[in-house]
Amino acid sequence: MSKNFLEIDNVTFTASAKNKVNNVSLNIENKGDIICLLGPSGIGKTTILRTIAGLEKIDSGKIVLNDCIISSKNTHIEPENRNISLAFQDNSLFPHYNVIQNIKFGAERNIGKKKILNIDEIIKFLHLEHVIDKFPHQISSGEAQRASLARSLLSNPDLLLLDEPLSNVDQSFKEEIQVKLKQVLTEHKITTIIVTHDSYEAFYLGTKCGIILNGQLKQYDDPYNVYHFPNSIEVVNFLNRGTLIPAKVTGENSLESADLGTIKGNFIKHYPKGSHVKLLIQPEDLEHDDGSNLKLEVVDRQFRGTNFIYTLKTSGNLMIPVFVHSHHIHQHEIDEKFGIKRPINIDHIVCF
Amino acid sequence: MLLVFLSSILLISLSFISNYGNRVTKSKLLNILTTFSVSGYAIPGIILAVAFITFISWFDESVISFFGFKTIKSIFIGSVLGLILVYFIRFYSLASNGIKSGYLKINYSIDESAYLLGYSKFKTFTNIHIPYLKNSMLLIGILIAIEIIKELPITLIMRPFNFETFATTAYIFASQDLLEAAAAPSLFLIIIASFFILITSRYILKD
Repeated sequence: MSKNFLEIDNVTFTASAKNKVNNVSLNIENKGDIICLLGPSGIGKTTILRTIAGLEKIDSGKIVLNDCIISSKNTHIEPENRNISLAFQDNSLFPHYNVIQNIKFGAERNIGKKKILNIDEIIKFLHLEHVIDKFPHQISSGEAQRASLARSLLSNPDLLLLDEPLSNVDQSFKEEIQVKLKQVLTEHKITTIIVTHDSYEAFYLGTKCGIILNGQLKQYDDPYNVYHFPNSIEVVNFLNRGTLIPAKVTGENSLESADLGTIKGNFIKHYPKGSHVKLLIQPEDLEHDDGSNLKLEVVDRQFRGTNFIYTLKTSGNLMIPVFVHSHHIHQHEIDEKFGIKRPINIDHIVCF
Repeated sequence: MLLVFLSSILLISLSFISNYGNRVTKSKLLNILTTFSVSGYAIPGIILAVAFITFISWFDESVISFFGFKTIKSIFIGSVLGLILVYFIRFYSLASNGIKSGYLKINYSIDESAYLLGYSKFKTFTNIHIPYLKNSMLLIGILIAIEIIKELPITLIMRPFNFETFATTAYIFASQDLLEAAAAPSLFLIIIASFFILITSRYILKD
């Protein structure tokens, strides 16, 4: 008997001859866990969901749900018999039924079973009250996506699969829905796999995150670890939140960079003294200090609401992002000099 | 009218099933057969009727008599069944292409959504496809009905003894120069076809 709720064991997911995600092994340990899969468009994330749902077959490996093999080379349980629900990214509402009828299709699956979710509650939290009598062609893509999500939630599946569930939802609702969705999924222990390209959404919703790049599952870990301890340069480049700068290891806890000088901190991996590495500098690693003698040139300044992200150019022409809280207006304009606090101390040093 | 009704039901049902089969199985063989079967519309009705009679006669004489069974000619030639079968070959294209264009409007992800909500393929067909294509079916039914009501060459050749339609009655009177007598069935033809077109434009296309 397997201790995992879902086991994907060495499965190759095939969308087309050229588009494959090879040899994926991934486990969901507990019922109620939320897994987020991140990756660029067209990499095969949707194919993974379609295969788990039973809409595609596999040639190798196996998928086990609740101790039952649902897909393998010789086994294929039909999608209607899996009790897995998939909310598609595009509008897949039944066009000849109105929104409430569409949502009730989900509830029909539960006839005779214990109801865990209330239809009115779901309609309310997804802000669908004003469109329930309308037909799919009369509502916006964001509303259709929320209706599709409501239908999937109501079907009370063993495994819920969400393909970019909030990609068309207005920004004004998005964060509120994310919070409530997480509450509902956690409270009712609905095991979920979410495919998204929004890393903030993945980090918030996911108990674990998987990064899919170049046809492989590159990293599968806690969201914190994925962000702070990326396991490859590809993951760093995909998350696009930092810069890799050349540096030389000078001691147990220190490096020397031609552009930033001495950098201290805890290495997450051991590197021999004298080795040349690429050091990951993330926006929150450096601190602003006007009084410092380490001055870099401002190339760009992005206002992000709660913070500014400055892009600074070093003497060696490297671009480094620096995070600054926006509680007061920063007067550093483009081409001006920007001071960096020394000595530079980084909590955990990630090198490649 | 019974002839029109039976022919329309048969045409719509079989083209619905073949299109659904194509959609679900994506079978190349089924696709080729469907493509082949729609070619009947391109063949003149008189040729179809003669070909059908020739085929049944050959089949009856060579296959049926070889096994010593009773002749089947009377079942298929000069009978309502034979008439319906030739109408089927002639108008299958109309029904099949109509259903096909209706199906093209249903994204395949809608079928997949139904499966993922626990619907079997059959239940998806009855609960999702049929209600969605209801109007397309009615429209095709009406178009077929209009075609069959005014169809002449097949009906003239294949009809049973003492069986007349408005079209054949009008033709017989007209061929005998009894134009006044031919007026009544001709007018009935026009009235019925106009009534069908009225229903189509008022209720089906509007909806």
